[in-house]
Amino acid sequence: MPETMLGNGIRYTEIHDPKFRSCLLTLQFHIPRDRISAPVHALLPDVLTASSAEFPSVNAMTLQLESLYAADFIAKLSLCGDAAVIDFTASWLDDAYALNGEQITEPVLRLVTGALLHPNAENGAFRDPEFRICKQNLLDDIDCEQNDKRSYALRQAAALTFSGEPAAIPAHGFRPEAEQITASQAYAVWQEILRKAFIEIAAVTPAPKPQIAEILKARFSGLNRQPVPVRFEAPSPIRTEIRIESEIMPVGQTKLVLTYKYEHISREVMLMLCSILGWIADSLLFTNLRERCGLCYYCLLSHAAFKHTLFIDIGIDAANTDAVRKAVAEQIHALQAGDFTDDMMQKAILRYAFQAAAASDTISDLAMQQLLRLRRGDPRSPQEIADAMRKVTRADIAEAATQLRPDTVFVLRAEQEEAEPDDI
Amino acid sequence: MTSEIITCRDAGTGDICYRILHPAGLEIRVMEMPDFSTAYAQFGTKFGAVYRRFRLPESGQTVDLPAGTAHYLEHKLFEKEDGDVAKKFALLGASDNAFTDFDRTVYYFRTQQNYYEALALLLEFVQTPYFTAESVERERNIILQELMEALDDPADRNFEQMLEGLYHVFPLHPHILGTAESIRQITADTLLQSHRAFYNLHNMVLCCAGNVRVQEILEVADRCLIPAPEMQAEAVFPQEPAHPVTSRRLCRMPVGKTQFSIGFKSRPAAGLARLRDSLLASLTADLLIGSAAPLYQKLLHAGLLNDTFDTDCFAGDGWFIVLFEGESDQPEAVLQALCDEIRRMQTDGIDEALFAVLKRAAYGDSIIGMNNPESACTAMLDAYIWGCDAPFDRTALLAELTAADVQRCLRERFCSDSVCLSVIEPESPGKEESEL
Repeated sequence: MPETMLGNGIRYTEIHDPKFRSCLLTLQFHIPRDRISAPVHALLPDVLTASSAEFPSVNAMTLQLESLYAADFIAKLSLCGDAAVIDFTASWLDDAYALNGEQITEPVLRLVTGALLHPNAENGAFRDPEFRICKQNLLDDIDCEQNDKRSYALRQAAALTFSGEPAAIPAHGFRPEAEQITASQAYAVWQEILRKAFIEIAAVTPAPKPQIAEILKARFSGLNRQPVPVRFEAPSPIRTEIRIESEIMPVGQTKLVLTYKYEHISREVMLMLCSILGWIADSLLFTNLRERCGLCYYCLLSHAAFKHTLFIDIGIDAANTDAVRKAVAEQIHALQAGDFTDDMMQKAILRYAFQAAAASDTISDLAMQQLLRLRRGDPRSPQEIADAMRKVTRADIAEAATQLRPDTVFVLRAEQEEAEPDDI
Repeated sequence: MTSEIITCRDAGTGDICYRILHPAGLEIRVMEMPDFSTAYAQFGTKFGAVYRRFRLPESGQTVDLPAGTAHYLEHKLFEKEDGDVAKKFALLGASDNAFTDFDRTVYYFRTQQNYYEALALLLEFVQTPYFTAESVERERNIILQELMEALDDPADRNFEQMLEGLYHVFPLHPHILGTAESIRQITADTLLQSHRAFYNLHNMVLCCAGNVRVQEILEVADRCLIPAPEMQAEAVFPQEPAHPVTSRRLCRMPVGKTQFSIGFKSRPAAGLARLRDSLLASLTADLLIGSAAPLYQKLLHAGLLNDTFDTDCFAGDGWFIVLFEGESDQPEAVLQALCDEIRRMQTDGIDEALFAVLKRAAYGDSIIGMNNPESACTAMLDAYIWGCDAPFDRTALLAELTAADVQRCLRERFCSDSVCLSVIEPESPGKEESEL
């Protein structure tokens, strides 16, 4: 999968796989974050995909996409370390399947590049009412952050764990700054992103489509590009004392989030460690907290790789909070003592190999796999990573586990903690 | 053993689905997709949350099951005398799981290697239950925790509340997981009885898709399937009145903005007619208020909707609902606008150009939707549960739909006296319930 440069700081990869009946194009803009810009960055994906100069309303944009056999054009903001990525993705039925032989690829490319380079704007500002609607969507999203209790607890834990760092700012930003966003400010931020962001592009198609690179190159050549690289790797400082916070909410189930930080653990060792701790079918956390002790329904482990931080989040009875914390600590100790089986190590490798293979069977996962590889700066293929995982020893994992330092405990506590399940 | 193999071909894409009626009683559906590196298998039974009563014809005995039995059984089937079967799948490099829906329970795995070994494991573990009083008891708290999580989810709660408002006695409620009380009533005997009744191969389907071969699947089936006697249990469903229980339901929860769910209840349909009516109802909903429809734009501009709004059709054996869900400070105004638009469209007719565009979009979705082993597997299982021969009927049915069909759909499935508006309002101290 050779990468080519389409312009200054615009990298392009095209992948061909004849088994697919659709095409996919992803454009990712790498951007730094701060408290003021965060809500603007959260707003831009919606503003730029809802309408454009050519399709100046949600109705018009949707109608065009639907007429192109349900082509899709979506965008999202993802946090990566202390920075962020705005990801615009279009997917569409391959031209070969059009009922009347009409072109689909070129109209989709025109729609996408039009939305990004000629948005629905005039006199240096995004146009109302579309901008006003998108801004209200953002404010609603901020207001509704508490709806999903698990995500809410994870966000609160992240804010505490990364306190003082850009990663502590939630994806949507904060409401006061969001309320202040103007159509001209948002437009100016987008123009700066077009000039300064590193742009990573991947296309997946059933057969070569040279027109994609040609059209993108031609359209982006009009920009006065002065890209500023963004560094994703931003390890969070390790604390000497554990931070413990809680919040009460009128819910039935208490959510517990525990975070752990480390200094440096190689990717292959971390993949083994996380798999054994929480990702395989009989992981230490699942087997002991759920199956053996019946303390929870879910107990999930996630890894913020660029921040060198692990998150463990669990839905529990409030009365079991201390018991669950103790049980999690015991599993970390088990890792440090190398107290896990060879089977578990084997399953960790098999799990990774399967996930890599599964990614090649889905057009969006295939593109994302390539983009993540480039973002991580790890040139190894999935096969090479699996080979590296095979060389990881029990001692390597145990030693890495000794680096894990408990950082934060956040409890979203059910208001009626004494309540019996009958009362819910 | 000799199996009869029926070949179904999609005229547009050339995709082939093999239907095999295995002598052991099981229907097997396979799509060979050799260009893909992974493969899936789904082993499903027509036993879901709505199956709450069945009759044994010989004795005439009627058995009532506590709500949540199908889901509890799904949890416990993974446990065997020698431990959790998931560990065996993991050692083969396969990833397994299961889910319980209103009308089905499905066990599945996906893998890149050792497919036929994993398939044998799937067939064996689903056919051979192992329940002990202790293990069933141990699972209870885990399921109660799962229920607590579901009850804290406003989207889940709103959907359930809408079903309570629409259906008097048809068991679409309580929640698929049951209630705390019903979960406490479930015993090892309940699970065993349910397994005997509904996990009969004549009531089940095996769907395989991806990098697989029919002949090798049949070899595993010949080896692992335990021939089943004819299906004895007969599911019994109560007679559901045509009208809803109530037109309004309201509760309060910790949410940031008022959420609503509008459901139009109409007569159920079966087999290909249900698939056709579901496609038609979805298209009609999009014509009324989908994001390409003028009404959507109007309500968006008026601040009555935001981008969370969506439409859906939810149908099964015994129910049919067209759904409109989203966030709004004025859900009553949204419902009123929707009802006005239904009347206007009945009088003025539909936008034929938009109808053609939406049909074309649905065609695109159906072509892309089968281009993945997982979605192909799911489409085959859906077709079986719905009583359709192959997963390719969608495209042909879509092509046949006309404006007259839409008018019929508006008359029959969008009646203003068959609607329930369910609302979740943000909790605020001192506010009383039932203001709506």
